Amino acid sequence: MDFSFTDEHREFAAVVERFGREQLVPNWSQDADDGNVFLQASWDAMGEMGLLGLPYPEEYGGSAASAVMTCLAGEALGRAGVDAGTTLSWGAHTILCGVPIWKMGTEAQKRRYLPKLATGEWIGGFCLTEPGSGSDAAGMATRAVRDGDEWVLDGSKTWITNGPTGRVFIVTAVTDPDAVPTSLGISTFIVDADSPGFRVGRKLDKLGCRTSPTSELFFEGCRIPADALLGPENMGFVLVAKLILGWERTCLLAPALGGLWHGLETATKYAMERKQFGRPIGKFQAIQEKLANMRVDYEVSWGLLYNVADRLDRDLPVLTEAATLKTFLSEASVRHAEEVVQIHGGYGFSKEYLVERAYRDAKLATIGAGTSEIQRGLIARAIGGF
Amino acid sequence: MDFRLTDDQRTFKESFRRFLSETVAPRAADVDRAGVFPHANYKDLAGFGYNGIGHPEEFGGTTLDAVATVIAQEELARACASSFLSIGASVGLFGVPLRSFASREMQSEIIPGLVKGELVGAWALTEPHCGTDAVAMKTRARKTDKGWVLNGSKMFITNGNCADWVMVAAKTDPDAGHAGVSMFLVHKDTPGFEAGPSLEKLGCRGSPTSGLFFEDCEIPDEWLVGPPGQGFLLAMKTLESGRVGMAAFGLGIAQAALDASLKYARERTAFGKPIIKFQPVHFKLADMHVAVEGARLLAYRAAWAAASGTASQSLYSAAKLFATEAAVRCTDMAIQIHGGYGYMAEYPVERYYRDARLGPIGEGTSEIQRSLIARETIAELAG
Repeated sequence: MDFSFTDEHREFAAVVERFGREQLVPNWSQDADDGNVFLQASWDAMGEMGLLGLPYPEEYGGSAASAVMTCLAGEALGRAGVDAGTTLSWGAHTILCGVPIWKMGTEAQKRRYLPKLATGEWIGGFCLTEPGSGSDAAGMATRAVRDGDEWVLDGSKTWITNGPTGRVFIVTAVTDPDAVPTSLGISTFIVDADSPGFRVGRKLDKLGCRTSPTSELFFEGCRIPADALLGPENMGFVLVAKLILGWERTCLLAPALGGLWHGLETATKYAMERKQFGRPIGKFQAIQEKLANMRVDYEVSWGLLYNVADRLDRDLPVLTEAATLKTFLSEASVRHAEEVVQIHGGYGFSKEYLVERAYRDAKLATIGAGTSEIQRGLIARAIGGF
Repeated sequence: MDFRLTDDQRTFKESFRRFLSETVAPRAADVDRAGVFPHANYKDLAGFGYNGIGHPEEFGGTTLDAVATVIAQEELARACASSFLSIGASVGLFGVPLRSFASREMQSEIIPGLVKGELVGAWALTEPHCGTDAVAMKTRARKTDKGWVLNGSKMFITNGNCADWVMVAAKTDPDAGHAGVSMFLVHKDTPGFEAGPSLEKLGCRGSPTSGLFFEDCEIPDEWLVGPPGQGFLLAMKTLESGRVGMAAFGLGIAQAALDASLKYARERTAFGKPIIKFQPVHFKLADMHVAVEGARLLAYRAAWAAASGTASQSLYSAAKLFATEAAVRCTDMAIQIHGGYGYMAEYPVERYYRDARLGPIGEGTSEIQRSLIARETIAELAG
């Protein structure tokens, strides 16, 4: 076993953290958060920095970064205090949309999409959830029917990150309604936003991650070419789920790991500045216990996260490991954000300090990419062998 | 970065686990009931090479990398927590400072006996009125022409009344605070030394615990360990490796609780199906798995970092804190999954539950670990 980063790893993380602090953090404003405004300037800067295509091969405009490197970048953004809306949009674009194209796409699909995703010129999204189904694929209602040289999509998707801004979407749709189990009758498509019959629904207002736009998407006799099929017919869902759940539950969560550190740093500094009863509140054991618990949460999460990233890089199975990581890190994020607010007292409850934002942002982690309940079921089935 | 065990580590884990399942594990319930030092396990483990891990080869020791060492500790705790505790106190808490700081003569006199499972050691820091607060220590060592004279008492000493040798902390300069503490070896037959009866306790009952009494106990100069005044430093060094060991203790018990729960939940049926099919049971098993995996990665990392010289106090403390508290939670869930059977001594989870509770107390309470972590974090981030 070797738990160390290389010098290259460390330097890269330091560069990304500084970039986040200097180039991304200043773009956020309370007004943007209040108004659910996408931070285009941050997006463009991330594109120039090469963060939007990080893991893709260089021939497609990426940086061929390993999963460990991609997680380091995500963690660095979180450590820098970049708002979780920006990192969520990054994850949905770079990981959820781009990784399936890179791993499952044809040469033509990779050439068409990856370079533009890597620069950020085209924003990507991933469409699985529907109004009536989330983790339960059997409830999927969106259909795709072959019509000559085209596929025709009908249905709707919801809670789609980057929905309002996206130019390209990975869309799952039922292609064999009679398949048993249902998951073996679902295919995956790449849908351009200018396809006829594609419509962006209303922008959804939400608790946190507000700079990441979310919307419903409608497919109304939406026509896409035959070669928009991603991966084998009827197998797309199974393949993309396997692929995505590992990457999503690590790289997309890496900013949350950085967020744990950022929150700890923020709370520690505040606790040593804020004085009550004649001394910094950080000298009181009640506060020290909170800081210690947060530090432990970070250290545990660190191990769980980089374990999955390392396994991804070695093509080892990650489903149980990723579910384990997601369960712990997401719940630690919520606990942690609450304690950071508590340490800040009244200031924490106000919008004057950003810890209020972090508290709202954190809650997504236990819901998105499979709820904590789904993760626990998955873990229990894996270790219980049933 | 490579999170995989090496082939050697994996092979070692498998063979040690197999060895334990045939020797130590089947005796665990009896060891718990008997309440005496598990000599048979000590001997068998000596045969496998466990006792010699890290000790000099010239004294019969064996070399094992840091991760494999913590794996060995985890597996022994999983098989029998009492044996882990008593044998660890002998070859580890007692043996590690002995091999690191004692004179060569004393090493050659004692270490071969530890490695062979013939001599038992104990390590004595805690007193009736003070634990972590070592400055409050009352045991004194006074210099004489012939050596030293010890007076005072120690409390909660693992192997206290079955040890051949005890390493004891005493104040040699009562006015010097931390710098006034020194470490001494004391043989059990030394006049003026007496060990109390085994204390009745909640768990780890197969590992005897007692008080120690020193009344004008005269010892020779050679029994001083390390330079005078360095005892506190030695103790802290010992407790560093001890914290990784306690992380392994928690991890091993938590894993044992999970293993037993999985087995039971598959076998036990209710409402026409195995209870493993019910979501409340899923949740407990999943929570146990998450805790075990998190504890394992942290314990292995702490051990690895200690060996590579990159460890911080926070990492040792975090590993000890998380793993031992995870064990308490996991053994509680294990009892719950077992229902009425879990409350009975018929199933091993009843023992795991009692054994686990030592973790957040021994070798620095959870509260002390949190305080250490917080202080280091404050120095690092707001210093």
